[in-house]
Amino acid sequence: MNADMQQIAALAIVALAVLGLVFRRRLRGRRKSCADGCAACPTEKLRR
Amino acid sequence: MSSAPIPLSPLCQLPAGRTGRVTRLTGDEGFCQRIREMGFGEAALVTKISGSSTSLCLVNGMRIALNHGAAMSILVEHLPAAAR
Amino acid sequence: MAANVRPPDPGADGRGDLPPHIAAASLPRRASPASERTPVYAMVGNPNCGKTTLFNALTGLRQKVGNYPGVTVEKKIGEAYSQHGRPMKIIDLPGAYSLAARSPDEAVTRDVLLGRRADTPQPDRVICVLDATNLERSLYFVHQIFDLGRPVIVVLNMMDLAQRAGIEIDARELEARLGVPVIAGEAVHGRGVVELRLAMSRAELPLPRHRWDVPAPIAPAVAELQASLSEGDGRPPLVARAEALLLLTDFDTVRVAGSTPLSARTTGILDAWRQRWAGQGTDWSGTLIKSRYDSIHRLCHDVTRRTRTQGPSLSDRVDAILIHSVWGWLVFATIMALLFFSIFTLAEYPMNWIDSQVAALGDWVKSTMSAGDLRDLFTDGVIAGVGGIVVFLPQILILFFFVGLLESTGYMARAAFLMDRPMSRVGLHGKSFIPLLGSYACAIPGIMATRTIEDAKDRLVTILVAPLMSCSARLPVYLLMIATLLPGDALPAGTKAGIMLLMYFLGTAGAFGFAWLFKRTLLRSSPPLMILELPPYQPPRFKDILRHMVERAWLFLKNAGTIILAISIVLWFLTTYPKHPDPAASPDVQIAHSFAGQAGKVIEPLIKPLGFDWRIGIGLITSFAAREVFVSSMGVIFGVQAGDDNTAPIRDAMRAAVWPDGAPLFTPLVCLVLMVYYVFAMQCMSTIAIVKRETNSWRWPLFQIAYMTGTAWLVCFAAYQAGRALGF
Ligand SMILES: Nc1nc2c(ncn2[C@@H]2O[C@H](COP(=O)(O)OP(=O)(O)OP(=O)(O)O)[C@@H](O)[C@H]2O)c(=O)[nH]1
Ligand SMILES: [Mg+2]
Repeated sequence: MNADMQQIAALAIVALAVLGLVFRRRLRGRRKSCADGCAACPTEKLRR
Repeated sequence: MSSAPIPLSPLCQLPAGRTGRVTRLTGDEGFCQRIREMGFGEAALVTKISGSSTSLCLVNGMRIALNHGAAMSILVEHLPAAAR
Repeated sequence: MAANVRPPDPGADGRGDLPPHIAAASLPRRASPASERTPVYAMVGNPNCGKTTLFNALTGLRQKVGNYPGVTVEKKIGEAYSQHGRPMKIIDLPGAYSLAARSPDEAVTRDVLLGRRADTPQPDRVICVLDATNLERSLYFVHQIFDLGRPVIVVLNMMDLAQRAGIEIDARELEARLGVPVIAGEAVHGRGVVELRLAMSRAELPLPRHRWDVPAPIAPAVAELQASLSEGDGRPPLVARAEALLLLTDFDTVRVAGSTPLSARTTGILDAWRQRWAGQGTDWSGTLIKSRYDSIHRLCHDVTRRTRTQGPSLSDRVDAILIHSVWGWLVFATIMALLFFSIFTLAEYPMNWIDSQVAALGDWVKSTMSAGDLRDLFTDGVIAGVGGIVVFLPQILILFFFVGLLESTGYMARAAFLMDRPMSRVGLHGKSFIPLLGSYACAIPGIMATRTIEDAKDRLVTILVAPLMSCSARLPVYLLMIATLLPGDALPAGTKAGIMLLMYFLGTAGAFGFAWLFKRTLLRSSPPLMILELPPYQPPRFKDILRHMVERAWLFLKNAGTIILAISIVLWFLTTYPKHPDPAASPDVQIAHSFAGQAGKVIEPLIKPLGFDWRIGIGLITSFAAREVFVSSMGVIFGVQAGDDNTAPIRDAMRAAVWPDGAPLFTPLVCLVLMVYYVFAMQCMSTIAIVKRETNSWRWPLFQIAYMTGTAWLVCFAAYQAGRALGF
């Protein structure tokens, strides 16, 4: 892979990471079960 | 029950290892209510297990820790040492 | 005399087979098929009687179980299937001694039972879990539940402990007397779960039949209030009766009535009765409680038998040492020392192994890919960032193992007992120490646990200082700084553990100091009264502890693989772009030219007085997301800077870092000051969100950020300048 291709790929990954951070909340909302039996976890995640 | 006058004192002054009978609760209403609801009200038998500033008591088979303020507001009559 | 107050008139002597009212009450149920709506069960009982253990057994969920009162502080909803495969909803509730709630966790239970929580369906049926070793007190709460007029299933839990204590309970007799199913069981061993599920599957459940007359002086008041509540305030009849009784036992009318204010008529009646009793000197609350206890006492007398009188139990003998005013502290200190020592010695092997694997991965990427941005992104961004933090997994697991051990044996409550004295010096009581101790693992469950504190101001003080307790996210930061501070493995683990212990001590002392300050200024209130039940010791449940550790490990890795990964990638970009016009520029020049470098220069004046340069500043900013991000940020920044031919551990790169004038950046003084900064600074988004939710306003989380980070800056400034003046 040459340097230019690498640069494009790297920037694409950075863009993905930024999108992931921005839409973190929405992505998290889809998670089904609570990973941690911690008291703070809102119960909604426990249903189902 | 012995006929000698029974000393009345706050729970915090009951010596460790001795048993007393709760005679009166002082302190704020909410606290008294909760103490009674936990079966620690008037006529309950309390055995002091240990405690200087924080007391550990045995009431009805449960171990209850009381801080100094709480132990101060529970008045007990001392029972003879053999009463337990 | 007062039987007319009771809506469904109980059977004549409470012993008949099926009194008419039960059959009558179940008629409407039969009319509407049970399949229409999922039945909702509430799981209630005294604190620490095994509700959550039972809930987990029924639903297959893994809610937190621990051997101290106040583990569950929020309702949790789960689903189970009946014998016929129909779904049933189960709500696990915080433990309570009474419906007259004294603390926010008990209020959750009361509100759910009275159908006041908009987000929760009102339970159709109630599962009352009793602690068999303490039948009388457990029955008091059940007695109140009976007033709600819902079908009840009673579970006599902890039968094993009762047996050991020489208490025999006749469950059949109890069932006959109460008129509801009574199931004897041991939730931890899964005994009684099948029977409970069978009972829950029954289409019809009898209403409680236990006879209890409202005491004569109070009965007319109950009747009047009940009528007014159902007519004036629109309460369903049974709720009206329960609420009338509650209004007479609880002193805080607002608390009892919930958010909707009582009608003028009801308040008028209540005030009139209170005045009349006050005039007569009738202690209505005491009378009510006493009358319940009298009836319970008779019941208990008939169903229990003491096979032998109880001498001092094993728990008593252990307590003689663990809460002793000298030995107790010695044991406490030993546990702490052992914890820190094992973090440094035990964790070293897995840590070195992970470290070498991460390095090998970096080398492998370097050797297989040709030079370019993508390769740098992988090695300097992803591997340095995520790998740098994953290394600390073993230490975090050890910490959680210890905390789990304390929680499941029953030591938590003892620690609260020991700490009551020092806590009273700052104006709090020992119960506040349970949330603080929990905050050593993570401040979020710690802050939730403050719901067991009765006084609102004391609770707020505890919430405000809880994040000062060093949580597991600080562990990687401390460890990284200690590794940078003390190069090589020459130094004994004891020294490293000592420094760490010092940081934990500093945080704890800070928490106490600020609690003292807040109790005297912002949140003045009288010294609280503490009543805390000490549970019997239990053998640690290693399965539960291990499961909790696996969950925490998974959470940690997931965080590393998502948020930290993304932040590391973005940070790599910010330290790499824009590129210096001269492609041959040295890494130092290049990074100074980057976005991060330029931004860093802007904030550097603010942190230079603490001995930090802009690279540390970038780490401070990114770690606002979570403290451990600091470690991965250091990995990325110093990884980028180290250039191509180096995959040395971060600590080596950091040790080599210099100021522009060539002076070393991470002097021992700076390492210590940086650790101190993390002791005090508020650097956790999740904590801020939880504090906002628990205090219901932005005021307190913002105040917390300001006072904690302000203190961090001032203390670090003083420490650094003093250290410099002393020639370090
Ligand atoms: N010996 C014995 N221990 C039990 C039994 N049931 C539960 N436990 C233990 O009792 C402790 C408390 O259990 P939890 O399920 O957390 O109690 P809880 O009622 O949910 O407590 P809170 O949420 O604090 O109100 C744990 O240590 C359990 O392992 C039992 O039948 N026998
Ligand atoms: Mg629980």
